[in-house]
Amino acid sequence: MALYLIAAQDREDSPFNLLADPAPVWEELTALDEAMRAAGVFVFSRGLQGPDATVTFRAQPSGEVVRSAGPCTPGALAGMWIIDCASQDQAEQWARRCATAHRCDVELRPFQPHVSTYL
Amino acid sequence: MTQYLFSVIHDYVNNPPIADPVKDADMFARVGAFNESIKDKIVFMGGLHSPDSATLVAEHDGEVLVTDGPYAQTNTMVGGLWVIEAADLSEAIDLAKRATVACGVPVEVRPFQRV
Repeated sequence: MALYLIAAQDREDSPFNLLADPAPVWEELTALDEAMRAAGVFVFSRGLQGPDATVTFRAQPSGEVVRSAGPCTPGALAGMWIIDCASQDQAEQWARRCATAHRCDVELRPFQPHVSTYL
Repeated sequence: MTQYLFSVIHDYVNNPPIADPVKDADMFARVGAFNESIKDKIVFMGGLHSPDSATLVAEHDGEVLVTDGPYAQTNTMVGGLWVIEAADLSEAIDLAKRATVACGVPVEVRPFQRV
């Protein structure tokens, strides 16, 4: 089994207006979480608050840590699923279901082995 | 308690990760010690494979299309993440300051929505 990130991306030219009728979206997202749990692949899922709630910290060679308001990257991450799958193919099937349920683009990306394996 | 996303931001062009075995060993040791010290606050943590391992899945006109490669091709991209549970933003910020020192690259903090 391998861990995968499914990152939900906000798109300015999205053909969907989720705010117009959000109830079916929440119902489908809840059902998708249940399906992931039933399949034994669910690790985590949650939507993020907006970019204006974001704070960035930068470590300096001096040891100082500099804080700045706002995101560090230009992307528009809206939320995420983390799943534990047997294969890339299986992960892609879940990514398709995420895109459909959330009416958004999603990026699928595998995690590296846990940090402790490098020690 | 609120859950916060700590995004680890790598510059894959000018300062790629997993480049220097000695520096990387130091970083992994620092991150491992940081994780151990806050393990009751960690919901999840993991480092991602490089952006070229990403697959994009997007719905267009009712059809779901799958393409190789990341959503956005920029120099700086997420290289890993923590999901942290903290009492408030102030505690999250204190932890993020330690996280950026441990991993040696910028860390972006963003609260999750409540479900």
